Order: sequence, then structure tokens, then C-alpha cells
Amino acid sequence: MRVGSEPQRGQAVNITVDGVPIKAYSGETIAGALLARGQRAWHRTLHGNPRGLFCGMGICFDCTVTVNGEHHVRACLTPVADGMVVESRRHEERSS
Amino acid sequence: MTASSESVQVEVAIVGAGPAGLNAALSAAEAGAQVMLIDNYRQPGGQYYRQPVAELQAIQPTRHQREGRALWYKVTAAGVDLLTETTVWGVFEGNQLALHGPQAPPSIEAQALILATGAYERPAAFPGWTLPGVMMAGAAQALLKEQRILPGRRIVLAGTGPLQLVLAAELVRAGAEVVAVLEGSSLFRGALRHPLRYGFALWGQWPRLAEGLNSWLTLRRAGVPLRAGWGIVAAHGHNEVTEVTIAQLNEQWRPLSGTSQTLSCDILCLGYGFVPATELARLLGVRHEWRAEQGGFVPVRDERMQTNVSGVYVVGDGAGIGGAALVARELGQTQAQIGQFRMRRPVFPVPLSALHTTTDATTQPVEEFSR
Repeated sequence: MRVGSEPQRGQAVNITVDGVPIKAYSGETIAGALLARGQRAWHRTLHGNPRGLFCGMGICFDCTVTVNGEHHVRACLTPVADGMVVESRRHEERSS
Repeated sequence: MTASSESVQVEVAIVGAGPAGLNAALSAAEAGAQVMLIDNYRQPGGQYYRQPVAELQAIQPTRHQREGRALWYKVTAAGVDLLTETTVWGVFEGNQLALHGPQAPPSIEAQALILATGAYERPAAFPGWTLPGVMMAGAAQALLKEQRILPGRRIVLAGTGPLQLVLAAELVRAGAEVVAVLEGSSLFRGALRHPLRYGFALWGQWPRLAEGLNSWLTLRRAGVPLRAGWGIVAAHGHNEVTEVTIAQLNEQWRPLSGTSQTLSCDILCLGYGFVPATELARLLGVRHEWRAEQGGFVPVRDERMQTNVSGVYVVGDGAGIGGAALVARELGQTQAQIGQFRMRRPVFPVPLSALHTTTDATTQPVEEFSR
């Protein structure tokens, strides 16, 4: 949930998360954009258990996603950019 | 690992651009050193001075944020090289730091290394603690402070200490429903009911007292239950947390049978204190000792804040969660010496005990509230 009015925010950008188009604002992190739309779970552990934002400051690595093909990127630290392709670790579930 | 050809040489490398790192950088630069300051985040400041992202800076900054920005400008003006969005993923003999980040060289080699890595929150494990929606209080606070985003709508806070009240009030002001604030210690029961009677504990610390009372009033007006001597027992949900079991605690913080209740929520924030981030110091073989009151294992330092590893210094909360004692000790180190560079000013003039204090930019600025 975003606080305050949208004109105070940065440029609107579009990203996709597991193929789903998501609108976000420049300056937000991937985790921020996901939580703003009410999505709390995105990462999956190797055993398939759901994970999301935990420490929120780059320490725990629970929120990692694949960004434009780069693995293990922390969603809590990484700012969104227009056209960014974000994948949770579902590909690993499929292959296991 | 040996120095690669891409390794950058610096005189002083500082890891962490929070209050301790910024002050150390300023001191070292003013003493004539060539300084590289490295930080994980997009902007310097750490948790204490956490700034709104550049896109949201039209929002009126708080006193802390102004203070942090002023310090950051001084550091920049002193000629310190700042490397943001950079993770130090390893450290090797000869003060060689391995880096990862969009602007970072693969490694740098420093004559002197100052670790100002700060602290992180102590995780509390219980059934369901890994469910998405269960997060550290600092995660919710950083999200709100930096991006003006709430992690959810119905929020339970569990932990201990007055910082919980500050966060709860900020969440309420931002529009969240705070379902309950659970304070583990029953010793706070009186203070939570009649804060003015206990205000003498903060006598003379008017900004802290004002912030505490302001937070308490906000929660009171919103009808948020403040329960002292209560804690979390379990979090439940299939894919994300949907409810939590809470219970009254005995003096050892064990749940009392027959007292458990269920609360519905979508976010659970945990605030059980802080642990010094000692990973890099431990990788370097710095000697540590157990100091429960400082958060666990802390590096052993001499009066110049140097460790047993030559050229490796540790400052700030990474050397032990301090509060007043640490601040007083480090404030006394006005003659601290880093390598051949003699510091002319205190390395660490900010009480980090107010680590996660944040403010709601849409309401009146509130002041720091220390443990």
C-alpha cells in the first residue's frame, strides 16, 4: 500500500514479475513494488517453501529473485527499472 | 586470493556509511587520508539516517534526515570517494576487499580498514516465523521511511522496547491498522498505561520524552491495544501469514498455558533487539569476546579502536550494540589514530541506540527515542 498521493512519486515504470506486468514507480525497490500491490510471498526455497521480505536491509537473502537473468538479486535493495524482467525461483521448482 | 590487476589501491577503506562510517570517513579525510567509503545502499546514512529515495525527496525531511544529509555533504566536501550499492562479499589477507555492485571494481586494497558495518535485528524463531508477512520491525520501518510504502494493512508488532511504540505510531499515521503491540516484558506494564508517571526515567531528554508520549497518544487515539507481558507463540497461514497465536508470558518469557489468543493480521513485525554485524571482522580473524549486553560476540579493540589484526579497526554498533556506554567510550576517543592518520575529532558522536528511529514525513517531525 503506497502512502500519499502518486504525484509525489517518481516516474511510472513497468516491470514484469513471473510474466505478470506490474506498474511501479522509479525509486521503489522490487520488494516495495510487490508489497505495494499486496504480494507478500515471491521467493521459493529449494524445498518449495514461500519466502518474502524478512530483514528488509540486505542481510538475510530471503527475498532474492532473478532479475534480467541475473540470479540471487536481493529484491529489498534493487530498484525497479522500466522493462525489468523479474522471476521468482519457480524455474528451479520445475527442474527439481 | 592475491591482488588482481583490477584491484584499486586506497589508503583508508571504510565499510558502512551509517553514522559511525560517515564520521570515521570525515575524520580520516580531514586527517589527510585518501578515503574510500563503501555502502550497500543507494544512499549513505545507514538505518539511523535512512533517507527517502531521491524521487521522494520533495517530502519534508525529518530532523534526523537533515542531520544525516548535512554530514554526508561534509564527507563529500572533504574529498571522500563514496561507493554506493556495493556489497563487500569477502575480505582477504592484506586488507583486500572483494566487491560486488554496478559501479564497483572487483576488489580494493587498503592500507587501513575501518569496519563500520553496524547491526541487524535479532531474529526470533517460533513456528511459522519464515512465513511471508513475518518480518523484522526494521524492514517495515525502512520501507516506510525510504519508499513511503506499507508492507500490509493489518499489522501486529511483537518484541520489546520503546522503539516498537514509535514504529507502531508511524504505521498508524501512514494508514495501517495496528492490531496490537506486544511488549515481552511485564515491567513495562505501568509505563504503557500511565506513561507520564514513568516519564522521569527520561527526565531532561525532552525530545525523546516528547516522541514517546506522542507515539503513545497516537496509539491511544487509534485504540491500539498495548499489551505488556505478552509475546508471539506462532504464525499461521498457507502461503502468507493470515493469523498469529499470542500468549501471556512468564518472567522467563515462556508462554503461560491457558492464555493464548488468536489475532488476524497480514503482517507481523518482530523487534527483539540488535546483533552486531561482525562477519567481516570474523573473516579477518579478529579476536571476539562474548558480551551479552552488547548483543553477542563483539570484536576486541585497543584504545585506538584497532583490533588484534594490524590495520583493522572497528567502530560503531558493529563493535557492540552500545547505547550510552559505547557512545561515551567512543566519544572519548578524540585522539583515535587510523594507521598514520591521527583523527582530530570524535569518530562516533551519534548514539546508535536510536538505530531504527524513523518519522512519518506527513506529520510533525518527531525526535529520537533511545532505549
